[in-house]
Order: sequence, then C-alpha cells, then structure tokens
Amino acid sequence: MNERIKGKRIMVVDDESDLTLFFSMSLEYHGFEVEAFNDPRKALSNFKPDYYDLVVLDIKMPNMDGFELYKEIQKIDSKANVCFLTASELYYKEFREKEYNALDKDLFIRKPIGNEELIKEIDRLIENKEDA
Amino acid sequence: MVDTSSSHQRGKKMIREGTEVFYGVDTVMNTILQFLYQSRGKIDACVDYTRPSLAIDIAILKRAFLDARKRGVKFRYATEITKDNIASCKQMMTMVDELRHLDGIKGNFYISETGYLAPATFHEAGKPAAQIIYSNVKELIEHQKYIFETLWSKTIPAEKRIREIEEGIVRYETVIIENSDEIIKGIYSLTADSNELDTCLTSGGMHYSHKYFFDIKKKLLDKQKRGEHKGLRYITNIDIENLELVKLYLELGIRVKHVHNLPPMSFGVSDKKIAVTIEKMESGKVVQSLLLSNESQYLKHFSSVFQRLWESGIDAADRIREIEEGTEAEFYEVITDGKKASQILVDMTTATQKEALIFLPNDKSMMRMDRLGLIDYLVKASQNGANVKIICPLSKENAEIQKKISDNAPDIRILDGNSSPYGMYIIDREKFLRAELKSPGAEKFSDAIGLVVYSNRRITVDSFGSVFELLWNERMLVEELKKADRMQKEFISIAAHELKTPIQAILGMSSLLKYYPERTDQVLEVISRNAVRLQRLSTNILDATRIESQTLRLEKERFDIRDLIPSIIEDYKERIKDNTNNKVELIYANDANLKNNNPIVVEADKERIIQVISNLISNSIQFTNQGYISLNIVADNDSNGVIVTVRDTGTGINPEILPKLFSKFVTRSQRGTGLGLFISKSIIEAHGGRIWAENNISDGQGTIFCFTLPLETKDS
Repeated sequence: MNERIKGKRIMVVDDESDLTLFFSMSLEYHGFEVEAFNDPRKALSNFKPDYYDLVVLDIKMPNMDGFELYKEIQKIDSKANVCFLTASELYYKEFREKEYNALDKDLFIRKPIGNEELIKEIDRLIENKEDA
Repeated sequence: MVDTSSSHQRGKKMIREGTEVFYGVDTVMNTILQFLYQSRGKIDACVDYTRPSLAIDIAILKRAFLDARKRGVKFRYATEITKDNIASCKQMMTMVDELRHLDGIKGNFYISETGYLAPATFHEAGKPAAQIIYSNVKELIEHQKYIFETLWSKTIPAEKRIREIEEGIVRYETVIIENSDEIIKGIYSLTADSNELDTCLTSGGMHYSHKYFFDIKKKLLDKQKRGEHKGLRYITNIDIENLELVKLYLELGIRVKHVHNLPPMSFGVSDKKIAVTIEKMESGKVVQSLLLSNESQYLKHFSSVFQRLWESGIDAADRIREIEEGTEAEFYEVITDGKKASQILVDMTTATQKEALIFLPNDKSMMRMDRLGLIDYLVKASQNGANVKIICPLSKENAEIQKKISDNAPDIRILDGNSSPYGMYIIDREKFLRAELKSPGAEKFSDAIGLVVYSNRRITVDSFGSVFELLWNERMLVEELKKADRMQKEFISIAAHELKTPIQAILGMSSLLKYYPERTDQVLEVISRNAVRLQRLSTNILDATRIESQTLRLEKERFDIRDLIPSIIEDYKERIKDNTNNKVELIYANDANLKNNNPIVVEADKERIIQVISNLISNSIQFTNQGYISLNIVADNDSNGVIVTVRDTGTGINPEILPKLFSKFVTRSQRGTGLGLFISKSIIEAHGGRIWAENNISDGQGTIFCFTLPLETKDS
C-alpha cells in the first residue's frame, strides 16, 4: 500500500451502480477514502469545496451529464481537481467543442480500465495537481 | 383612214425652233410621217402596247418606217409586248434595228437627233392620236433622250419576252416598291392571283389588311367555297386591338392562329408570290415599302417560316378565351440579351407568391443572384409564406449569402448541389426560366449567361418542375446518406460505449476478486449480471443489423398471448425491486378475470413477442420512479386484433422525440443503444401489427405504449 495515497479523498460519480461499486472497492483497497454517487444531482448537493483530492466524473449520465456537473462544481470550488471517465473519443471531442478546451486530454480516464491501471491513473492525477 | 395628202405642209411647219401642239388625226399623222422622213442618224421610240399594230396596219406609216431603215437610220423601239400584240411585234422587229420589251409603258414618244415627238393617245387600239406635241428645242431633246436611256436600260430583249409569252414561262423577279398606291396594287394582285394565301401580320397589320384587301379576300372565300381556292390563313398577335377583327375573320371561315413573338417583318405568301413589309406595320398605317417577289427561294423560305409559326401557334379560339377570361397567354421565348434576361428574372422573382424553385449552376451564381437583389426578394417571399427551395453548390465563397438567407429566412431550404452547365428558376409553377452558363466566373448574371429560355407554357413549367423535384429528391437522398453515415458512426460510438460499461464491470470486478475473498459472492453477482447485459446488448445490435439487412426471421406458432405474461411479470418484479426500491408496482390488469376470458390466440414468434413486451416494460422502469406500470391485453373483435398496452406513471416522452421515437438510434435515455424500440417496431410490423406511443394526458403523467397483433380466430 502506498503511504502517499493514504487518506486521500476521492469523489466518484457514475450512474452505473456496478461501476461505482468497482471504483469504491478498488480505490478503498488501495487506501483512498471514497464517496460514490449514482445520481449527479445528489453528488452536487453533497459536494464540499476544498475537500476532495480528486473528483472522478462519468460523462454520459441521466439528468445531468459530467460536463454540466463539472461546471457546477467549478462554481463552488474553482480549484477542484476534476477528471472524467469516458468510453469513447466522441465525448472528448464534444467536450472540446463545448469550449472546455482549456482541459487537457490527460484529464480523461478511458473505460474499460483494470484495477492496477486505475490506481496508476488516479495517482498520476493527484500528483499532477499537487505539483501544480 | 389617214389622209396622206397633207404631207406637203411638212417643210413649212418645222423650220422655227420651238415647241408646238398639233390637233387633228390627219395633222398628227402628217407630223409623224414628216418626223420619220426627216430623221437622220437615229430614232428612239418608246410606245405603249397599242402602237406596234398601228405601225404595221397603217400603210403609209409602215412605209415611212421602212424608208427610214433604208436610209440607214438606226432605230431603237421600246414597247410592251403582250399576248395580243405579239404578232405585230414580231413584224416590227424586222422593221427596226432593235425592239425591246418594258412592262407597263404608258404614253408614247419619239426622239431623233433634231426633234422630239409625243403623240397623245388613250390606249385605244388601232387608232392614231388626235393631238401631238412636237419640239426641236435642243434642251428638251436632250432631256427626253435621258429619259429614254433610263427606260431603255430597264427593257429586256423582245426575243426573251416573246419566248416567255409563247412558252408560258414565268419571269422571276424581286422588286421593292416604295409608292403606297403601288404597294396596295402589289398586295392586291398577289391576293387576287393566289390559289392559297398565308399571311403573317402584326395586330396593326391586320387592320391595314382589312382596310385595303377585305373585299378581295371575301371573293377568295367565295372561290374557296366553290373549291377554287385553298383558303386563307392568318398568323397574328391577337390582342384587345384586333380581337373583334379576328372574330369576324373566324366567322368567315378564315383560319387564324396566335403567336406571341411575331417575326419583325410582316409578310404574305401565296402559291405564286410573296410580299414582305420592310418596316413595322402599325395600326392601319399605310405601308411605306414592300418587297414583292415570285422567286421560288423566297416562296420556300416564307412558306416554311409561316408553317413553323403556324405549328407553334395557339388556336385563335383559345387565345380569345384567354383574353376574355383575363388569363395570360402561353409563351415560349428564347432570349439572347443578357440584360433583358436579368430583368425578366428580377420581375419573375419579385412576383413570387407561393413557391420559388431555384437551381443554381455554380457557387458564384448565388453571388450573382444576390447582386441582382434576388436573394433579398426570396427572403421577403419566404417571410411572406412562400416555399423557397434552392439547390446550389455551396462553398466558402457563398457562405456569407447562405448565412444571410438562414438568418433572415430560416424556412428557405438550401441543398448542396453539383456544378451544372445551366441554371433554372421556376416561380409559382407558372413561369420558368432556364439560363445556360456561358462564363462561370462572371460577376454579373447578364455576363454569365448564354441562351435563355423563358416560358409560362404549362407543359414546360410542369416538366421542369418535375425535373427540379427529381434533383431535389436526389440531393435530399445525398444529405440523408450523409446523415445516415453520421448516425452510423454515432451508433458505433454509442454501441461501443454501451458495451464498455458491462465490460468495465466484468473486467474491474474480476481483478478485485483476489483482494476481497470475503465478498466473492457479491463480486461474482455483479460479473454475472453484466455478462447478461453484455449478451442482451450484443443481441440487440445483431437484431438491428438483421432488420437492416432484412434477414430477421420469425419462428411463428399459435399460442394464447396471455400465457406469456406470468413469467414476464415475475422476472420484472425482481428488477423493479432493485431499480426503484419497491416504489413502483407492476400490475397485470387482466389478472382478475384471466380464467373467465376466452383464449386470445395469436400466430407469432413467442420469443420475439416476449422481447417486445419486456422491452416496453424495461423502458417504463427506466422512466418511472414511483406509481405503477400496468400491462393490459385486450382482444378487439371489431378489428380482429389483440391490443397490448403498457402504461406507466413516469416522466413521459419529450414531444420532440415522440414522432421519431421508433427510429433507430433515437433514445430518450442516457443508457441504451437506441435500438430497443426500433427492434420492437420491426418485430411487430413483421407480424402485421402496429406499435405506437403517446403521453398519458388523461392521467396527467406517464406514457402509454401500445401494439397490436392480428387475432387468430378459431376457424382459421
């Protein structure tokens, strides 16, 4: 277990309960503290500014998609460290076209992703933020 | 009889220089004889057709002629040789040095070196003149010599004329007449001599023709009744001005046709002659100059011009009806003047009421149209409710104009087209203009175009309307294919995304197994559930592909459709529990009287019907958070069908999606491939049924999905 990871707080939002289950189990096993939500609106109402080390958002969700949720989170915490889960290039392009082009391609985690790679990605994203 | 004894007076009378008139037949004769006997050198004579026989018949006169010849006087003799005087002329030819013919000589005169002599006659054959002018004034002689030479130059040799008469040869000639009386005579004789007569006249020309030649034409009509004339045909531009005249002519049995665009010259052509006016004929005015000819080339030319006009002409009766009913006449114009064509196009476009169909040959043509102000007119027309369709090659060059159109008139539809050698404009299905593109790069419309056809002919406008529709549909198809291609790509992307979700769950959870030995059951359950989901998705994608390629096969059997329900209900009760925490109830509305009802037998593919019902229920589950989902099956004996209804108390369907709900790739949920309803529809329709959806307006919320299947009666 990585000592640096221990106690890092991560919010995971994905409408698929099987996936939030996987992310929670995987991340918790490696020492992260995880708050998982299947409803983006609930995630938003539970969001605490300057609290999470990383926010992981699925893009395609009912009621509110990942991009909308990102915008709302930015309003509450402009420095929030947010990344996205995506299953398709299409959404990355769409995202750029919607004038979020300040966002780096590195902020996208591609599905499907195995346990080990997931931890590596999450670790990288937290580290990037800390370096900045 | 002529008294020759008075010849003694000669000497006395001719000494003085001067001009005198002598009276009395004898005196006249004496004067002539004296003139002939005294002449030295040469004599020129210009006499009418009555004179040759006189010179032969009057012995002393004949002797005087012969005497002059014997003395070596050079004698030139111009007269009109006719059928009646041909014998005298032949004799006369032996008495003079040269005899020539000239049409229509009137009056007589003789010139010698020293004298001029002009007997005055009234064309009474066989009679000499009763008075005569004699002059020996030098200037007068010179003057008359000049006149003689002028006439002589127009004569033809007597031999030629005699042959014409004897062999019945027609002399071909073309003359231009510029004397209005002569013109009338010319046209009159053309008309009178005709066995058939075609005339092409302006509206004004009709009045002229009526004023001067109506009487002779009535005679021709009488001849026609007797079978001696082939009849009269007129081509004119029938308008208000000559409407009544045309009606009168029609009543008399004259055939008349209307031509919109008459040739610039009016003309008449008979079986023998043509007459063409050189200037434009205006209302009833006297014609100033006329070309008359009997040459066959002219006849052929004008006959064929007339025939072509006649074939394209409109029956006078139709034209009269048009004028009287106020409808516009049909026309078909070929225009070569770019400026005129521009003006017509502007006029056409500004008049747009209901529809403008425009086919532009290249991207620049849209800019040329804008330059003419036509884009603004079209925008205005569209704003006033006109249907405007434009096919035009679209490019960066005309992007600004496209934007101007879509900003100001979003109802104007523009499709991207290919380059073409011509442009086409159809306004209100009434007027049509087609312009060849001569200079594709030109800035101005008038410079860009070549030949232009402009017409309001029903058949022309309709057929080019259809051509436009074809082009439009073809362009639509191209657009749809592009769209289909886009949707296909999107589908692959959606399908990939959907497939990745269960794969993520399976892949992720299996890698966690080793870390959570105590939660193996839970992890395996997730893996198994997602494997099922993966299977369902792949089946859906496969089904959609089968439907697309029309290879979806049905395994039909007869069964009571209600037998399917219990297992479906059981299956979904579990899933509802998982999805909605028991806040939604699944009801089978027929439960209570299931046993009492007659069986509802259908012949169908059991698995496919289960698939459809399951699909509808799982759709409802997705959109229903509380309340109920009810399933109802009714046999409708009136329509001989079964109606299956799934009703929920969910969020309902966005009215924008409703019309295309059953199309492929349309989804109102964030999950799903957008294939479920598409597959369901295809399955039901393959069974000869119908499927539809509506929002539950009566209960204020939720959705109703229904489908029908044909009912199998016991007899069948």
